Amino acid sequence: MNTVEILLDGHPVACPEGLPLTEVLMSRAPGWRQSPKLGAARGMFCGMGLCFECVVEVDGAWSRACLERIRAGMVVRTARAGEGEP
Amino acid sequence: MIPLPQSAEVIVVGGGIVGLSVALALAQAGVKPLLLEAKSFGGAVTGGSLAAIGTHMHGLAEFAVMSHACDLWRDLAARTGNPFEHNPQGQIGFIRDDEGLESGAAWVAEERALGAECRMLTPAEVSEVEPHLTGPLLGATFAPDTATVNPFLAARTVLAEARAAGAVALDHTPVAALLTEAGRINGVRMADGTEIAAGQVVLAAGPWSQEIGASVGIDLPVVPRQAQCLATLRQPAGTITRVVTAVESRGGVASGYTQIQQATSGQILFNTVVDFIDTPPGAKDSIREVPSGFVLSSIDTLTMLFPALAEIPLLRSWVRFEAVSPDSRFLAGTLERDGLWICAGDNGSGYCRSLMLGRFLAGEITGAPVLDAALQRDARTLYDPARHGRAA
Amino acid sequence: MSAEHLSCDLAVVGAGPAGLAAARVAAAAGARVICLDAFAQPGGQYAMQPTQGDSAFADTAQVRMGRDAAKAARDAGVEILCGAEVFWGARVSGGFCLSVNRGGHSLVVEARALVVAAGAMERPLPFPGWTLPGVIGAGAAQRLLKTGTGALPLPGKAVLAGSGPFLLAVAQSFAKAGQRLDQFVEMQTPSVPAIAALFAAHPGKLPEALRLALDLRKTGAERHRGHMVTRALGTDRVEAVEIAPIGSSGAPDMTRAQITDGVGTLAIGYGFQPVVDLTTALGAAHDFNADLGGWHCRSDARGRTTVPGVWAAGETLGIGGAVPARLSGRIAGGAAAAALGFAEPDLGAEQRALHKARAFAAGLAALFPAPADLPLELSGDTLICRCEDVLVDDIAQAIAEGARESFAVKTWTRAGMGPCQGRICGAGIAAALARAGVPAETASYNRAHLPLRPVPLPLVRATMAAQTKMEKRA
Repeated sequence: MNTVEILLDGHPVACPEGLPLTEVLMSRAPGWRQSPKLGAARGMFCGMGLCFECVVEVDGAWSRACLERIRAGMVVRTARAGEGEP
Repeated sequence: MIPLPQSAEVIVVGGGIVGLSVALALAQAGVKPLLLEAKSFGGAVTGGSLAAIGTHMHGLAEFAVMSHACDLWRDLAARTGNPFEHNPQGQIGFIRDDEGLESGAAWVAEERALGAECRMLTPAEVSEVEPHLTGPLLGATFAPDTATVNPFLAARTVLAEARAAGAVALDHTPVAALLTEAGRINGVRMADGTEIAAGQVVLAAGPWSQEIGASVGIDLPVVPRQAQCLATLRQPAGTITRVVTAVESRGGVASGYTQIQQATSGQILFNTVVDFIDTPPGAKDSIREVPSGFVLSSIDTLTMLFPALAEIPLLRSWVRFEAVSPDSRFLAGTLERDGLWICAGDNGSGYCRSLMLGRFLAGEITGAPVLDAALQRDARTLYDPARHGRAA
Repeated sequence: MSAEHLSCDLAVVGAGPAGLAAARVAAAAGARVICLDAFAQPGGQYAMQPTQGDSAFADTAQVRMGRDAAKAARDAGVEILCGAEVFWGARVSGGFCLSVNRGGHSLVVEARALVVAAGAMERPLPFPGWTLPGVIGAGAAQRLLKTGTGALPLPGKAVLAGSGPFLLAVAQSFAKAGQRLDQFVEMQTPSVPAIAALFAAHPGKLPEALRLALDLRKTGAERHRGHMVTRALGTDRVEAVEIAPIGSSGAPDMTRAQITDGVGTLAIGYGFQPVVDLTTALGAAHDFNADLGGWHCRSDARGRTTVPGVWAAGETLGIGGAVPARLSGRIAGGAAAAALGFAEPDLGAEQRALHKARAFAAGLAALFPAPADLPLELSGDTLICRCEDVLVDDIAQAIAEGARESFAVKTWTRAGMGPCQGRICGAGIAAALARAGVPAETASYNRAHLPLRPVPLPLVRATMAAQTKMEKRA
């Protein structure tokens, strides 16, 4: 399988091309967002684009990680990288 | 569920913020009102509104009663611990052309003469007061005391207050018609045919008031007007701090309408009306989606004013139907049937006036005014339902 | 930015078994067909395509079926657009205008008629700890296994829990991926005679059922039938899972509860609900039937909804699984093509097969009735709405003050006002209302509005500009 590099929260990460982004994110930690009022850790839940718990920023745009596939050079920023929601 | 009573002293038809405010004021005045809401409390125009509370650009005639109306909201927030997000955040009226500068300056001068704290802002001052408001503006008006409330939670609070004061309020109990006997109101008939006797009935059903009034041959000069709003995904707190509106033209020239604000939830709420759409009959019960052209103009206006927000995701849109009167002022007072009262005609800015109108009308109904005598007199003239001529 | 513009006779929303079948039949009848799907590959949940060449799923029957269905559709002339999420649909002169977010670019698809085959989503029911990272939907677990490397990304034990035959399908995916499954927790205990009776009536289904049972064994999982998960425990991720047997009262017997430590993944599923946002937005009538997953789109025998020009197929019409989905897709695609003036294929055999397939689905649903609510006393601080952090207490207070429908609960608590627009919390809110005596029909659901899914403003602007032009056209 073709291995490519992405930039995840500022760090280069090598991963298989085409893999669901959620698999890469979960392998670091299952939670990468905070809930809005309670600030509780959240991560992928429904896995089919409907719960919006897995939201990240991909190449500067708001996105659901569960609908993203790994592409060479994609820049991913999670809420862990900075303040607030991406 | 509470069983439907067979009779009531006063029936209030409509459980939006206006009906709830009337019920609250009546209950506080010692009358035990029965409020009947067709669907959910505050679920129609009330919930769909952006609930600005302020006097700015509402006209000089109403300035005194509106000032008092704003005080009532501030007092309610203070008394209840503000569970409804009353936020005295201030209002910016943005100006894009010379005509707007002229209008804005005129509004400000006249309102200041009446004691308001509003003032003009230069473009440089605008960016200090609202840092992301970087669109091409010639200046702005600024009314520091304009507030907003969460329209749902404010209705919920007024409902709770009204109930605590002795009102009975029932949801999902639609009134179909008024009942009269010998030319005088004697109750209402529900959609399921049940009749409830009452000596006094207040129509506070917004754009639905017209058809309920028609059941006894009264032709109310209130028509529904479609309005709509958009909401974005939550943005960081402080993205927009004030209520941002267009400066309205003077002298009755329709100039369109814009209101943009950030809710306590973080969502940006915005709408722009360029041309008021003809609202076909029955639309208020059938149209549920915003027109595509409205979405375009609203997005264009938001991104013109706030270029930094150009790429944020839209979350939701909704439609509401305002009750519009010929002179864009409420009808509040007695109608030409003994025992029948009206409090409707929000014209899209009913939230601010509701608590004040409730008190005004309770005073009229009980004969014991709660408002200051001068305000009661003012309101009686301003909102006289007969000012458009008897329409029976 | 202006939107890309495509035109066709028939737009099919969803490229799962139903959508692909509908698209193929209509195209074979001569219609120009565009089939849209939000995911990167056609196939839907059932026939999901792997991303990795060395995947254990590369040549399973389901994957082959999806691949073949997509190929057959393309061969018939269907244009399949993946990564294309429909965020609005509106009637315009001459048909419909679909607004589509295609990988961050705007697209409008103009179609004379629509087939909506939007599929199903899980019907999550809240329980303590269900929001902890690592607690995922059973469908999400299957998606990770099928489209990922095949190894669950979270270290620790894996627990698969909930109810219904889909759990067996997910367990089979664990077996196929060679992924260890530690516990399998099924709430129901269907009786052996009832199972025997169902398969006696549908003997053709028996081999598949036996394979599922065998594959569950292969996972090595401890099997707990008549048990349920009562809590997920952890701080910033799931670490332990508590399960308990269901007692004779129908509630879990907490004296016999047991906690499993070292859990990394809890995959949980209590059945599915139809995705009805597009059909509700188009104004089609919907009905409630718990056996079909709750609110589903109303149609005639050929998939025609109450909105002229709109057909529906698959799970949008009610949960039934892949076989009825494919058949109802063929029927709806054929009916739509015929209505557009193309040759009407003979689909009598499909009608008969659909009847039988739905009977089997109904039989399975009767063996594993999807719970409307979990038999748990939820503490006041249990979360119901994930998007807006709304708690059981907030909902209970709103109901006590008189909120008697999902809409009223939403307005007073914000439950359902967040990005998911009530899709995830809907079942939990309906359950809370049911406990207060409000039937599901009265509780209703959050009706979809523009946009059906959050979408960047420039895309909305571009597609609405195109829609406006189509609306104004004579």
